Amino acid sequence: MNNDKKRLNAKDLIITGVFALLFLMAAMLGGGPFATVPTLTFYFPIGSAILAGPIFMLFIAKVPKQGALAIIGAVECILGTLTGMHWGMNFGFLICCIIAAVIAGIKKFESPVFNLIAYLVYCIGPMGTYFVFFFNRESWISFMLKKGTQEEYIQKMSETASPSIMITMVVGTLVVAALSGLLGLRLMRKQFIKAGIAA
Amino acid sequence: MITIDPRTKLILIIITVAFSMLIPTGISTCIWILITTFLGILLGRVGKTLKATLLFGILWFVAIYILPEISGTAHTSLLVWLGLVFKCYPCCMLAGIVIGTTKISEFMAAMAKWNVPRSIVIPLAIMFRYFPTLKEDWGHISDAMALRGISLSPVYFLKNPLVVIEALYLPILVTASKTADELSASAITRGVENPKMRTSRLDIRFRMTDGVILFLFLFTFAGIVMFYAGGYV
Repeated sequence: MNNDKKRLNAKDLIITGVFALLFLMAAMLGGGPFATVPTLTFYFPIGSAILAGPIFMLFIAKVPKQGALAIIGAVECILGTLTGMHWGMNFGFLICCIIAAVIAGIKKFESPVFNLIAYLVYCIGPMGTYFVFFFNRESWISFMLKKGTQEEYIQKMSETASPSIMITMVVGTLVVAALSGLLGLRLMRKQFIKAGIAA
Repeated sequence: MITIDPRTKLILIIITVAFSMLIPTGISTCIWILITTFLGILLGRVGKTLKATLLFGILWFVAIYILPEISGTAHTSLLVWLGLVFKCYPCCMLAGIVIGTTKISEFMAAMAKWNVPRSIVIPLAIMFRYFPTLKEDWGHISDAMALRGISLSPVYFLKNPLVVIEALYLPILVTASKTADELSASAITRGVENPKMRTSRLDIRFRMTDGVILFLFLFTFAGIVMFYAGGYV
């Protein structure tokens, strides 16, 4: 990161801030309706993957540096913690952002295939909390109960939670993310590059 | 009306997060909302704070008096929804007050005093700064598209998704990225890239009022924790 071309300057940081907000809005608009309903809560990662594809592609085209995605992860992790989200989600998000940055960075953010894979990894982030739920159900329930989530919500969640739901969640998220990412790549090719937004 | 240090506000948010993580929803939530309201009014954000408190009161009333009358699935989903709302309400309300009463320059100056790295502070500050602009842009775009008969309703979206993507989603992204460029141009002109220690004309330090308010929140928090840990419930 000592190289001047690779370091984040103020412009990159500001673009990062604007796009962090866009990512947040996309996750809220797409996933919000799922998160509040107990039987649908497992589909939250799918919902939040719907809208973010084009944003992701545009962002890494505008700031093709590895640190930028990690900062997105860090900022959303801080905000998530401040608003009382589950730690599995926050840190899952942070870790997945860093992995995505590394993957896309292998080809210097130019290869569409690698960018798409990076977006898939990015979309796995919000699932962290559900992984914790599946692998360590007891501790998850006690954590959420201590946090004061209603007991009936947990019960409903436990009833609907089964391996098939887990698979649906992972596969569904990956499929939706792939579609969204492809849409993002198409928009990049057809619109953003022509309009001169992403140089 | 008083002013307090942005760092105090941040500490208050952290205390509130700890509160909603540790304490189950109950009468203590009401107490917390009450002191948050008190703080909001003292900080000079009277109207919106009172509205938020009123909304909380109505929801609380619904939860206590109307909810037991309903049964079945509606009961469960409403209960769950209200549970989530009550859990998030103190944090969100305080965050609203803090964002509404803190200027970006104050926030930046306070963070510089804490030596928070700029790569975190700048994106955060921009997020708060950009939020109203995004709302405004969204209003303009959806107004313009209403003239063309394009709306975000689910029915219309299912009929012709490509039109919605091209006419609503793209403009938002394009304006966002243009705004980002403009914001960075203006920020660089004002010397945000200066590698030296940031100085500020604003006089930001902990004062008597900060101490009193922190004491009030911490005291209430400690009281509630003692109350629950003591097993009086």
